[in-house]
Amino acid sequence: MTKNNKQVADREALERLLEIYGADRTRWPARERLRFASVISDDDAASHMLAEAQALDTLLDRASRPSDAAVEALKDRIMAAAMREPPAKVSVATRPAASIRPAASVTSIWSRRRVLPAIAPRFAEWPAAAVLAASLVVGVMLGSAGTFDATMSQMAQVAGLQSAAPDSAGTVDSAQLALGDEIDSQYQYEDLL
Amino acid sequence: MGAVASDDAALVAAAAKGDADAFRTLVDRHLSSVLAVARRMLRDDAEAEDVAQETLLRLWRSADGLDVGAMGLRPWLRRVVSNLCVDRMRSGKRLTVVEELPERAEPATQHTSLEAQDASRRVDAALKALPDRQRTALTLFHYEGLSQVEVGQIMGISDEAVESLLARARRSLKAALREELQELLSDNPPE
Repeated sequence: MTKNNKQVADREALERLLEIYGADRTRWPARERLRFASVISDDDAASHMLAEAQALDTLLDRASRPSDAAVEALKDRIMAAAMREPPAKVSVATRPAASIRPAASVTSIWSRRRVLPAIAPRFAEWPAAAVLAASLVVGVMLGSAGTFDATMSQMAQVAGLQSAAPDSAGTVDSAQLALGDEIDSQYQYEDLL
Repeated sequence: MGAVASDDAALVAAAAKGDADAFRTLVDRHLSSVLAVARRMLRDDAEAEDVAQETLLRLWRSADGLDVGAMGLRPWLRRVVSNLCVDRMRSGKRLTVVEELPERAEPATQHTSLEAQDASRRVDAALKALPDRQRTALTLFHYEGLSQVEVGQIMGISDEAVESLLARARRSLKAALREELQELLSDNPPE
């Protein structure tokens, strides 16, 4: 490689290096720092390229920073939001009063829901199941003893669908009981006619 | 561990116990840099504030058990804010991109002349005009001082891809800020 060719190659490599890392040589890979130290000192064009990169870095450092007023307002918003929620794994006893949630109703409901299963016995549903089973047994017994018909007959008498006279004592269609209201309203309608 | 790092660790431990004052000190100490990263990566100030707030709230929520390294809390915060910004860009849940800088409420002081503010605006506009991925890579590498490998890890891309993004970003910025660069070079000619 001739001297000119090497110079051109060095400049191209330096340009690429400056585009990636900027002018701050402490950010360059160590090997590149060594390689280009002499190139920059010996070649004016390379030196000018470094100066341009330094100027760009200087400009970048002139980018604005957030105004103090905006930062202060944001600080207040962050503190307000943080005080609405406790930090993770913090016990209430060690938390300062200011950071305890003022409205604890929702929290207490949820905590109660979480605590209940632990306190209540696992088979808390047994009493309800026993009542259901007992109802079933009583129902079967009543049916087999024939008391159901008597009960239905009494209900029919109360509803006026069956007279208490011995000649009319007999079975009553349970569907009649269900239709009692409709039958009554039909009679009333016919009376109006 | 340095003084700031050990101080950060003590404050995080106190915050984990619910010490609001300790958390406020951490917010005072780190919010500006967190917000600066978010603003540069997201372009939209309101969205950047949302992300900065979420970053600090994550600190509050996960303070218990958080391992503060030798470099203090900043690397952890930088990783969280960067990831949140990258997630937002990927998810497409972006707010309207503001190309023009809003008027600044900050009054001009002796240290911030109108000329300097104007230069800041032009640089901001040039940065905002970059594609998301280029701006993210440049923000993490140049402003946050992360290594090429770290940038790649956060963005989920290879070292070569990071190099490509950085190179394209700087080329675009050089073109966009040509006049400003010439002014700087004429004021400070290379030796």
